[in-house]
This record gives sequence, C-alpha cells and structure tokens, in this order.
Amino acid sequence: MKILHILNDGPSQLSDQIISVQSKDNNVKVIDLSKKELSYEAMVDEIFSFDKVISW
Amino acid sequence: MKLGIFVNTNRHRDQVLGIAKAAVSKGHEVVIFNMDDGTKLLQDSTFTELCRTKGVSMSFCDHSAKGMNVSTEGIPAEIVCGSQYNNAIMVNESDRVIVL
Repeated sequence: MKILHILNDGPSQLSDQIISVQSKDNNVKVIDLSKKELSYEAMVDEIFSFDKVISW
Repeated sequence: MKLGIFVNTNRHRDQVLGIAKAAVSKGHEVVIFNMDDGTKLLQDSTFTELCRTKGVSMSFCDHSAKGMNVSTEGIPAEIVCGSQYNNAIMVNESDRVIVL
C-alpha cells in the first residue's frame, strides 16, 4: 500500500516511529510542510496518488 | 476528485489556501471544515475569501466558534454555520482528507 504522511509542523517521535514501522511493508512517503520542499500543485498530486494520507 | 481539509488550528492558513487553490486549479473539488482553533481563521478575510473560489465549499462548527469566542458576524454567507454533521459529511464524501 502507498501511504503518504504529511508533517504539518515537522517530525515528532511518534510520527517517526509510525513511519518507520509502516515503511517495512508499505511504500511510504513523507512531506514535511515546515520545509516547504514541494509546490502546492505537486502536493495535491501526491495526496491523490497515494492510497492513504495521514496528517500529523 | 474531492479533497477534504479539516482545519483545527490557525497556524496553517497559507497552506490551506495554497493547497485548496492548487486543487481546484487541477479540477478537484475542495471541502473545508473549521473547528477548535481553526475557527479563529474565520476572522481572517484572506481565509474567508476562499469561499468565493469556484469548487470550494466551507463550513465550520458553530459550537467550536462560540467556545473560542470567535465572532461569526460578517462571515460570508457562502460559509455554512454548521456542526460536526458537516464534518462527518466532508469525511464521508471526500476521496482524501488532510488536517491542517
């Protein structure tokens, strides 16, 4: 499964743990909004291309 | 497709605006629901103006707004003064939901 994690305010210990566990058996990607690395258009594309989106 | 944006803080206004506008520019529909600290954005005209963007619908939890002492006077009529029912509808009908 493709899982997208969106970190609104950067990583936390819990988000890191969950992402690490899920990464073992899933295709996981992380978008850190605090780093502003992606355009909003690219972000929207990512949101809809992943099976599950988790906001932190 | 439909994107739901659950807004429960007032710290990510620019991200809500940016993502919503990007989504509608790509032909998606956007539904926004504000509650808790997110209702504070209802006092920000830059945020509330988003309701006039084609493809965007907005609502908020009136109970939250009252609890946060947020005045809802002057809010555009397009923004629905609602409840958790609106939240439930958004979650049920959206293809994806993000939280900001």
